[in-house]
Amino acid sequence: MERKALSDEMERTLKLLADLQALHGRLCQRCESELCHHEALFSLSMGFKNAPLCCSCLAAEFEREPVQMRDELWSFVLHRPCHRAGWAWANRDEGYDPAVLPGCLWPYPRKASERPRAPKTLDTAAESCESETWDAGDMACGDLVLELRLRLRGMKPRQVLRITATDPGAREDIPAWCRLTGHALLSAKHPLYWIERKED
Amino acid sequence: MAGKFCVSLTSAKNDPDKATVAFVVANAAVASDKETLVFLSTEGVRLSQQGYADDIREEGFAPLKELMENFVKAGGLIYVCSPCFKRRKLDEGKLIGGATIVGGAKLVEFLSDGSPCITY
Repeated sequence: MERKALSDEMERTLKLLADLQALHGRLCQRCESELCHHEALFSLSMGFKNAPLCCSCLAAEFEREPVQMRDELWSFVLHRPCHRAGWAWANRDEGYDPAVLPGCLWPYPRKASERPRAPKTLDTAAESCESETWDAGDMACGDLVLELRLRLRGMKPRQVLRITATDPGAREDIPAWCRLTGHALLSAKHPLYWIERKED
Repeated sequence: MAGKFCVSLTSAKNDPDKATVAFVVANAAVASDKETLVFLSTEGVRLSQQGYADDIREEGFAPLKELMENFVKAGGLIYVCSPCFKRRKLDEGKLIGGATIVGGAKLVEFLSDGSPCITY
């Protein structure tokens, strides 16, 4: 009996993953925004497999606020093993760190055009063999970010620069500079920082 | 009315009057619900060290230590210029509560949405 239950669960999971993959690239039936995998999963959870909706349109359908709808559906996902598997797949496929909430839905559900690019994980950055390294030593303040700017300008979009910066101000400065300039800070563990160059 | 306010302070014991008035103004800003930053640079970074301000008291004003403590308690931020701090060989382990060592980008970020800034 236990084995059968396990087998049924696996079957449900495989079916759900196949349904999720089938929804890849589909548009919301109402606003025509491209669905992320997480929204596709929400639509499957709510029985909208044939007419999937983005999170905001699902919320409108059920007369809820988008954030409330997201939280309710996320709670639903967390309580079902096959949906949790779907969520994990969605995170992996879109490049989100499984330990953080995906940027397509947090801090609030966004339309495709407003979504941040899925961040590269350090693993994928390392795998890409496209990273460069720079030991900035104790360079600080304007000198540090000016040199950083020059180095990133000399790299290709999406390449990753690994920096060692020992100045105590770097802890605050490098993240602030990335927020100001739009380059993605993949990791900050002082004195090591990983920055992905933005698109031109 | 919410918003930001920056007080840039470049003096310490070399001009205790300026150092004191800067924190009086910063306290007025934080009391007015402004997200308030005191940016310490050049000689001002010495104020980031525990004990340094203990004996600064200008006539007609509260002791500087008290002004600074009240500022931090009210939610004020203190940024300390990193190169100025290093140049004076100050001790990161003796930073006062609420102080953070930063470089220019952090200050630029704070000011970049149009925050007013007054300098002492």
